[in-house]
Amino acid sequence: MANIMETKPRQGIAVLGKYNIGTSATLLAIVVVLFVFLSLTSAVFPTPGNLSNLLRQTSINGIIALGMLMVIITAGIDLSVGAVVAIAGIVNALMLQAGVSMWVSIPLTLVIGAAIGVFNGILIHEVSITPFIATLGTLTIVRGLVMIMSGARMVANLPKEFGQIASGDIFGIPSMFIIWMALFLVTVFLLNYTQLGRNFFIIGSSKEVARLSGIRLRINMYTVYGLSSLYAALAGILLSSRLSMGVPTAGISYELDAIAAVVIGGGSLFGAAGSAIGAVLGAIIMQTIRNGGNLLGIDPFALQVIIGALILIAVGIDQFRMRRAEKG
Amino acid sequence: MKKLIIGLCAATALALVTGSAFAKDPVEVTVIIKATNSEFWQAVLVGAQNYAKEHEGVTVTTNGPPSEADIEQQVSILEDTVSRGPHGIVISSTSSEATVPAIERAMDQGIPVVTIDNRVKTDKVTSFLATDNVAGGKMAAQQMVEQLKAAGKPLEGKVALISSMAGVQVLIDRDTGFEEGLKEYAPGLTLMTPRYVNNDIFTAVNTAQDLVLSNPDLVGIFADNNTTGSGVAKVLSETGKQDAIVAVAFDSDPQEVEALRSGALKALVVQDPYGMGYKGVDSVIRALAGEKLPAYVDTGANIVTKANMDEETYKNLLDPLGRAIK
Repeated sequence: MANIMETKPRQGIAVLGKYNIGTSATLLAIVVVLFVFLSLTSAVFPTPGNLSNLLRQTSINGIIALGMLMVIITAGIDLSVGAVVAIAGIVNALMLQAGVSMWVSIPLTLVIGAAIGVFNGILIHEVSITPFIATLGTLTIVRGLVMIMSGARMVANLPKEFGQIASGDIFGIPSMFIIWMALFLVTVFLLNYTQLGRNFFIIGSSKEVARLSGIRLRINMYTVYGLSSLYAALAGILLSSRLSMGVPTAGISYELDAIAAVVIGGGSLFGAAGSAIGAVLGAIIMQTIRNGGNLLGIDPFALQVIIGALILIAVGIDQFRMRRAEKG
Repeated sequence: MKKLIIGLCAATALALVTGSAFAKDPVEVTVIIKATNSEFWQAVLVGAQNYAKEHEGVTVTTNGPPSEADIEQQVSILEDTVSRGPHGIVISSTSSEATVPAIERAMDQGIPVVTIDNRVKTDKVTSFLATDNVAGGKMAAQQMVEQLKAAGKPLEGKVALISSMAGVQVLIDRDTGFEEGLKEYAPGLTLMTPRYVNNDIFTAVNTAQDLVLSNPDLVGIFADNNTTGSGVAKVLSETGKQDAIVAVAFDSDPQEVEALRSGALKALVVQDPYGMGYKGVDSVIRALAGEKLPAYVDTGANIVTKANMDEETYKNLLDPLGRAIK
């Protein structure tokens, strides 16, 4: 116990301080290097058409990663986000098909998404199931529900105006990217300028410290998992708008991409570390490599090796810096 | 003495059962599929059940685990079936090995076993019915080349291959067949490095988008299942390139059929799961009648285009579930 009290909170403070800015600078440098390299090797990469594709392609994972980030800051994990993406797409599509207006179906779907997250929160806080297992259980349940509701079939023939949400542009910028950036600002605000965000960091440092300093764990845990699920549900709605249909198999293994984006962005599974800008850059780096790989026709298996190596290098560098910061 | 009497009774009973099998008592064929959660396997069951409805004296019982991942469960289902002893068994075995002991036991007991779709590692089966996916892939290449010719395009430039998943045997077969076919029918076309999308339609859309944008000399796309086919169709209709790029895809689902009608996909290669179920039961019945069956029967892949999609035969292939006799 003494050990936890001694080491964990300091880690949290270090992250809120200058260490985090260093991480973002490194990530930004990686993005710049990638962009320069791809612009030199592919004539198509720097074109507006490709860049707007890239932003659209990144937005889904980018949104999920922002929710995942908050959970990871509390030293938790949410494996159910991919399944929530699927159920949100299907539930919303079924409502649209039944003639419900999208102005009603979308808010309802978001509420259902948030409720799934609160269910995770209940499992974790009240039943004391570890986040990994609790959200794994939820993932499996939700995947099953998706299949039951959809009969394992895609839900198509949705109204045109619903499809336009994610496919449209505003002043030449993809609307999906604008929504992602709006959510980014919300997340920055939550994490850095509210008591709620500070609570997440303290819980991630040590639940015991959080409890002793009078933080109400129940409401905070419900909120953080609720938010993660809410973000995933929004991503699910956008995805089904992008595809103009509800896809029962959508979102499979998206949780892993989201975790990877957070971790590349300086998040730590030990909690109390990570930033929204890091998660955004992490998602951009991952998708840029995939997009570049497609443009250049790089061997797909080699591409996987590169992305995997990148995750390890990013985390390795962070560990190294942290140890140096501790010594200094 | 007692044993002898019981033995005699049993023998008489057996003689009665087998003797009357074709006369009055229905012949029971159990059909075991890989997974109940898929339309493909449901179509197999529809074929089998239709056979029973069309042939008096034949009943079909069906069984299968919920998902293809449940190999253990399929083995138990088969073992229970063999113990129960129907007149014949049709099985699409998920594992090529795990079901072998139970299949051999059934054959030893005189229960004919017809395997469909996936080959099991034993020669002790009555017959094996499956689609030759290599041939199907080759047909896709041939169709693409014919459509390019028909559109008056020179047979040069790039062809992209978007594969649903790496390391899955049927997909490898389809891709191999396509590659072989392309080399044979249009050596001037270059097949690009395959892209894999983890059977995720969003990734399929993103990938098709990248390929279309970065390759102005792209003349064709081959998508090796329904997910990739739907993703490719979406991108081609969005970018207005559906006539500049000839896209051919495997399988059929409502999205692909719609894309075929709109022209976003130029052809679909479809298997015949209904035929597998129907012919599977038929093979068992013929084996019971003493007929000698071929070890392997190709149930065939078919090309469906906008031109033939409304003909009865092809309509049935596109929507096998619609054929169920009520």
